[in-house]
Amino acid sequence: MTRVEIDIRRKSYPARGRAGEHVAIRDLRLALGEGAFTCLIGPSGCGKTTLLNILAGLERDFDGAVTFHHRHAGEAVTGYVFQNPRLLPWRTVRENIELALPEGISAAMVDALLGELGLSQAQQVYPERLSLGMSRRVAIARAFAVEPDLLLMDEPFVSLDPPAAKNARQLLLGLWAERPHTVLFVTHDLDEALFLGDRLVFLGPPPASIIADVAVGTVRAERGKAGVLEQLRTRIVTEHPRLAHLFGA
Amino acid sequence: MPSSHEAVPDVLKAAFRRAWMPVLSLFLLLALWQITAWLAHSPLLPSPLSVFEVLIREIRSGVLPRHLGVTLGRLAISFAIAMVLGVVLGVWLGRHPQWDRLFDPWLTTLLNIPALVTIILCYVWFGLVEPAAITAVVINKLPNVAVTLREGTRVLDRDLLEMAQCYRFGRWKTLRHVVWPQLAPFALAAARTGLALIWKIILVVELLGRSDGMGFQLQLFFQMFDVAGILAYTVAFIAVIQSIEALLLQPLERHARRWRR
Repeated sequence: MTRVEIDIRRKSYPARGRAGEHVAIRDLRLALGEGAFTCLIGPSGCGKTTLLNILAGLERDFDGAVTFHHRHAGEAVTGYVFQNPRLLPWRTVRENIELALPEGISAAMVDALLGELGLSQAQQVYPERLSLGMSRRVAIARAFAVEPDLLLMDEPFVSLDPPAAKNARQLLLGLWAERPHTVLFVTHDLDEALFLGDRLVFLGPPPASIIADVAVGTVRAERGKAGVLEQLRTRIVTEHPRLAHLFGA
Repeated sequence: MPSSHEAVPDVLKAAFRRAWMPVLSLFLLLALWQITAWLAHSPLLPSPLSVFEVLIREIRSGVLPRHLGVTLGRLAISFAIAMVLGVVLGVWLGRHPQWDRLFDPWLTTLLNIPALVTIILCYVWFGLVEPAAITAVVINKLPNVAVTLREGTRVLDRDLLEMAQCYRFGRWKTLRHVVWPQLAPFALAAARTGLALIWKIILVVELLGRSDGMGFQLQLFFQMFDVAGILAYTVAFIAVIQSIEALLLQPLERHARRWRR
């Protein structure tokens, strides 16, 4: 497992046409604990996806540093569940997962993941024939299959209907309990964050910087029970009055 | 097994439903030709039957197969060269807009040079030799392939490329599993229009500067006003090109589209 230290002084996009230079992130310092499930919450366009892209190594042009403290030699491996599933439509479900695998990861592991996510029957199917919920689960299987040091998830359950989203969240927690990874989960859904996270990090309007950092504390198994989420909300608003508008209080 | 017992006639029925219209259409064309030939009653418009007789005679004597083979050989070589160079050039231009801006006018110019001019110039500059003939065909086809593949490269899905980068696909895997499947429909489109274009140009190339091949034979028939010979060779050529289309390019296209819903 991996601890990640993020220290981004500035990330901007150059001026384009009439739009001036856009500063996406400024002075964002954040350490992700080993095996912690951190949720990142913020208004849309606040630079959350930019942050994930930096962590995934897709965005290298920024001022600052990201340090991975992992226990193996070589570069850190990230699993990334994008907002859209980003599956190759011309490869089957199984091929999509296997293509992402580094050398030396066994087929049995893929079988197990597919089984746990209810995808065993769909292995040989092309992604266009899958429902959105299933495509999302394939993307999650792919991210877990690479045994990542850091698992990035960018609103992976957005636009699923509530029962499907609930089901997907439970599957995710089940997988994560068995294969703990350091997770950074971006969402704008507070209930989702309260249900999943160990820690909630709130970002302000762009350029992104942290406005609040909340440890959830309550045991995960308790959170499904009636009233527990409401208590959590109330506690957070009392401790962090400036988040009140987010919680509708 | 009642299901398989009924399945066969169903397949046949479906094949019949697909085929009867084209068959009828061809039959009508032949009938029209036959009637016109009767009315004209001239050696300059032979009937379908006499053309067929010439066709059989030319096949039996081995003359038609030899010249057809030579032409198909030239077709294969120039087609392959034009496709490979065109794909490489198109992808490169699609990925490097600054070079594309420099070379785009060249492509436009090439696209607009009449095929005949390229052929004449190639023969004048390089002599009446085989490489000149191949070069002339390639130059005619290349810009077309490059332009099609450039479009394909421009619309490559960035999201998928990012995914491949994040999951460390590496160069070869990315090319094979992410880039090529997106370019394949463009390459196939270029191949199909390319085949149609090249086989017409190649006859002119042969007519002007080669001493074998279909174009050369057609010139001989022309000098002797042997219309039956011209038509017999035309029929043979159309049959071969259509077979390539139906047996090679169409199955390839179906394969490339198999994942679509």
